[in-house]
Amino acid sequence: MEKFKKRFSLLSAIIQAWFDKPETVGYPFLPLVLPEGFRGAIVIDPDKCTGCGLCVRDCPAGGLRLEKKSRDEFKLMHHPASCAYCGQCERSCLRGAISHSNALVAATTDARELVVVLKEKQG
Amino acid sequence: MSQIRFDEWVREIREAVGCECEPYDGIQNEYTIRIPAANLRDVMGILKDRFDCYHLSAITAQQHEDRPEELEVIYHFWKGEGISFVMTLPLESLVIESITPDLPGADFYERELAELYGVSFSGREEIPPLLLPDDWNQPPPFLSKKD
Amino acid sequence: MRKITVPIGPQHPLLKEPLSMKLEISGERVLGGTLRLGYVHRGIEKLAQQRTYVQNVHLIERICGICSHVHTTTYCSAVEAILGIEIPPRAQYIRALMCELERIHSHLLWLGILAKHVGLDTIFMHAWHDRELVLDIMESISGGRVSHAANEIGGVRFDLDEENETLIRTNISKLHDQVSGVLDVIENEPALQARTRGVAPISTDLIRQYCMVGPIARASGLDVDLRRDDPWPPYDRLDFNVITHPDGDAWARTIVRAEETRESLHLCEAILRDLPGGDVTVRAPRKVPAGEAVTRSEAPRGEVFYYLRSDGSDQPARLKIRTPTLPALSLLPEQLSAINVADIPVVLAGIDLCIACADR
Ligand code: SF4
Ligand code: SF4
Repeated sequence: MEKFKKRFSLLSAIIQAWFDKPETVGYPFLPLVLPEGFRGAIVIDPDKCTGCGLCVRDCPAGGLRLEKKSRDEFKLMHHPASCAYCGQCERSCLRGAISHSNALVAATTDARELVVVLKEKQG
Repeated sequence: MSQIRFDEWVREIREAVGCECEPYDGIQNEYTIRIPAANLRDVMGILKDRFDCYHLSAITAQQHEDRPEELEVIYHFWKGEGISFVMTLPLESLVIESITPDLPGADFYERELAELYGVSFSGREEIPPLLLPDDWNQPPPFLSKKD
Repeated sequence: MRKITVPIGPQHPLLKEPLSMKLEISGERVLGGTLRLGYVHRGIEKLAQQRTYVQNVHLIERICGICSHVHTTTYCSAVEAILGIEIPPRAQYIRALMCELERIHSHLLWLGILAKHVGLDTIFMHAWHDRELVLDIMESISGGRVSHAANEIGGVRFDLDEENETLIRTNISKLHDQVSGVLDVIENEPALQARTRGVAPISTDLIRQYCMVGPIARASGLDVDLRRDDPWPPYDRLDFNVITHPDGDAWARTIVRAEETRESLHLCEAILRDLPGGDVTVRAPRKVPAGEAVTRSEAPRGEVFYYLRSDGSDQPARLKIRTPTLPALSLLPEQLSAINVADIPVVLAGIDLCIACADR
């Protein structure tokens, strides 16, 4: 018996595998459930953003760009392909304007999608 | 658990090697001694034979902004706690005696230093390229020399 | 018999990351070899000198794709040591919890790779399936599967709530069962034993001479674990066994890592039980006063070493990183002598290579 157990230690695992459901998710045909706190696409609350640039200063990957002419005239842009999805901008923003949603960022074939204008304010 | 009785170690090293070795407490979490580069091999011998301290964690090389004409080399050992040996080399003669005969584990660290900082190690076989390309003919990439 | 030199790598199906070996082979025997690294050298030490301390946390995280958390922990504690701040106890416990989860994930990943290399795909599937349970925990508490971004200078970024703790508890108890099952198979499976027992054994003496760290050292009978021997809090308050094995071959490494996984599961439970309340961050200034610090941590593969010197600005003046794979690689030529050609994958898998870390 002992010898049998040694010889066929994998047997129970193999039999089990016939009855187990697949562990994989049928993405993209089935929806992907991501946890609440997953660091996905960058979103902004335009009412809160003042263009202070703190997020740009701390971004480690050059994912954000701020073109600022004056207090009332600026443009904050995000580059999804450069972004490391590290969450630093969310931590650095004192006004809680910029944050991660938990949406997965998909690859794109359209070059225009590589620059996302988060907020544009004209004087 | 502390295994390093620092004062005793300093005293013994001083007596045995006869070099000036200055303890200094610049580095946090680590005992530190300044030694002349020429005495490294002897100090290493004492560490190994007398204190049974084998483990070399890393060798750091760096240039201080206020002393650009020197390269500072730090040997970080460990035995329950860290103990470092700091030495400075003038940029004109970056030569250290190799400790690989005593401690083969220092091999990769020395090779890294040799390639990235151009330090040459005496008393060991020639250093084949480890990190840089075979046909690298530029100066060592991490060493900044002011002209 | 005639000697031939066989180059393996830098690109080779056997290797997950670029590494170049030149092996001297005579018939079926490997006589020796030489190594070349540097194919993924990214100059991170130099790059770190041009980034601020805050940005560096995320740069450091990307040194390694498996043990990313322990790198940032070690880096942050170096910065905190120079700043002279102490992080809240709750943050220390959460850091340790992430380190242990990471160890489980790394060891299971490794077990899968070893099983794959010896041709035991069932274990590969099981180990990687179980690993998903750990990754699920990490993803839901920190927001990323491997780049957790859990640390910041002065603490950790997230707090654990009731829901997280329940998830961790259920997944850990599932893992207990799974890991016991896998251990059972490893201990009894004749095929795995035949492939790993007695392959390239390393003596304790050689381990000491080559400054070896982590599970490889422990599998050769060297009783060293930085979590016990040079702990940062809360490890000095936690109780665990350091697993060692006298044999030093690929089999001993398998057993040590598998047992360590179980030990880490216990540690996770202990951390959750003892988790103190309070804040998880303290405010840290952006500029770091001039000073030097050394920190060491026990990563899944052994000792991670950081040396940091600051010159009073908001960027480090020198950051030296030594990852545990580097000493392991320096012993590789030694291990690749006097083995059979068919054992090369087992030897390579046995040391748990992480070339990107070694190159930085
Ligand atoms: S998102 Fe926040 S940090 Fe960035 S510019 Fe706007 S207000 Fe400033
Ligand atoms: S998530 Fe990180 S990399 Fe991306 S924009 Fe924010 S700070 Fe930059």
